[in-house]
Amino acid sequence: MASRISTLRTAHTIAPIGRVVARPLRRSARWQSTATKPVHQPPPSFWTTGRVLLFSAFTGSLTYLYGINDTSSFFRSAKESQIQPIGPASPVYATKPALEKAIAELRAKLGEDAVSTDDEVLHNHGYSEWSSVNITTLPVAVAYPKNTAEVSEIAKCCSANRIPLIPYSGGSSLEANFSAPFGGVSVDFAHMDQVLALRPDDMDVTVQPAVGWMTLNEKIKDSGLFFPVDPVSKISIDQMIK
Amino acid sequence: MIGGMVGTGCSGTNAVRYGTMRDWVINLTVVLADGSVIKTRRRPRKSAAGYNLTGLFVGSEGTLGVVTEITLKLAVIPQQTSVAVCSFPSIRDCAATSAKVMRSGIPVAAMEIMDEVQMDVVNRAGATKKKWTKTPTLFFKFSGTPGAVAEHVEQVRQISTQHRGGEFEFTVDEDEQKALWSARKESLWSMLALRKGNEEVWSTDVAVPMSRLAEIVEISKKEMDDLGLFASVLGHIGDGNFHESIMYDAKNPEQRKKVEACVQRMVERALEMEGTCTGEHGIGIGKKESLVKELGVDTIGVMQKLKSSLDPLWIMNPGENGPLRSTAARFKLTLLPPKAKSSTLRPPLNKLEENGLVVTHDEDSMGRR
Repeated sequence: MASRISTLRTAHTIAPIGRVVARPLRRSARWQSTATKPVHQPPPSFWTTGRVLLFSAFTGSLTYLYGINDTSSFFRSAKESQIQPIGPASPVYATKPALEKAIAELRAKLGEDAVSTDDEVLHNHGYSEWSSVNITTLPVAVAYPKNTAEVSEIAKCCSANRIPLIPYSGGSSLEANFSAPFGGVSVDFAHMDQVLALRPDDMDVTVQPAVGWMTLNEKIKDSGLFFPVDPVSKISIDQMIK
Repeated sequence: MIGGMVGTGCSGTNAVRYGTMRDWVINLTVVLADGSVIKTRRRPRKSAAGYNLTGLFVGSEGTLGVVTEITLKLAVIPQQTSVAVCSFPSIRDCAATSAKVMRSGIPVAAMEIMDEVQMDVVNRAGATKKKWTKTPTLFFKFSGTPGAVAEHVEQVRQISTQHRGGEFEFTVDEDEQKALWSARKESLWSMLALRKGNEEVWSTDVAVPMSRLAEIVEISKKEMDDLGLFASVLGHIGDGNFHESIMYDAKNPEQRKKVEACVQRMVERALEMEGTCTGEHGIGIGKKESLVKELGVDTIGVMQKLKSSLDPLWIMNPGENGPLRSTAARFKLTLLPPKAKSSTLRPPLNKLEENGLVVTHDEDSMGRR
């Protein structure tokens, strides 16, 4: 007790030297002191635990949101207006004189009978009574090619004259698949209805587009093989209705 | 016909055992937009060589090329076939039975569900000799070696009984098989035969994961009942694909709108369940917007790129299928710009109207009157 009192007195009474001396003394006095003097606090930090956590969460969320916006279209609402059109901005198809010229060309290449512009025929090829959706426009002509080479001629002609080309086989479309909203030429495969080659040992068959699957199975059944895909057939429905 | 089947990538009742059109095409001879002819493959049963161009053209609905020759795989006619029919008190029981059958690995050749409305329709149309109970019914086809068929029939019979199935009728006799299957065969025609006056049948289909089929069928049926519409459900329950046939008065625009809205909601529900807007019928014109919702802008973008590279002039079946341009789906916007303008690049409007190349105003965006 006595030594502490004397040390303190020394710190206060002796001037500059005392101060120099006194500092370490003061420190040591602090060391030796058992008094519960309040320890000098560092200034309170801005970054408390709560604030650090909040800041991390905030930057984390920002990064996440940036990340998901950047990646896939899964999270983008699929509005049609967002689809960037590729290709011609709007379809530019042939005008009447070009259409007539094209039909004449096709008739010259494929034969007079191979292209029809009869109203009833056009209606049959543009309107499906099976479809829940139909449209008012019809094709302007129906072509009846007999083989691949003729189809190729039709495609070249349509391509050169910018005429839409719509394939047509059974006509039992349920979603207006063969409708012609922009007019054009309907390609009816009615003449291309041959089974070209049956190869029972390889278990395969080559056919043209207008062969019905039921007809095919009838024709090949003696080989012990069949074609197993069996959608509802328009032919069978027509037969049932009759 | 095979051409159309390739174009839509369709399937039928045999899909649960044999798959769809995409699995059965070996090669295609295709005429492209510029007239060039390609063959997508030679004739191997399977190949790992190059891109799968055959798969690209199957289901493209004529928008990428015109198919002129098709080589198909064939299956062997089975030694023995059988048909079985079992009715259940509810659609949930049917669904539970079919789920158990699929998960047991029993290779049924076909498994179809018809709801009570459809069974009643078949009875009323009178196309079959047999009269059917008016409850949801499962129709099974079995095929294979005689021993296998007998075993499958027995296992399925046990599963049906476990799920409150009624009388389990089955047969191996050819004529009796036809008689038992006749309800399923005549279902579409029966629906058509019941039309009166201006009534039409709207037929549409969606597909969902198998575990969700019972749910979507029940919700769709309830909605139809609430709206007072006459509709029947017929499904390839083994694939999670079902068809809905809705009878409505074609001359009544309000009813037509109701039906459209109902179908739209059914498609949205199917998409929510991670399904697809069409299991078999294809997109055509009616479901283009649904396709965008289903796949998203980037996937559609890939389709557009493919379409543009194969058909830069956009002449192959325009207006169909996926690769929409933002204006193509609403063709009245495409071809009818504001009357004040007339572009020198496009033929003047009146010329287009003359040629019948312009769609009239009184159609909605989906081309319906």
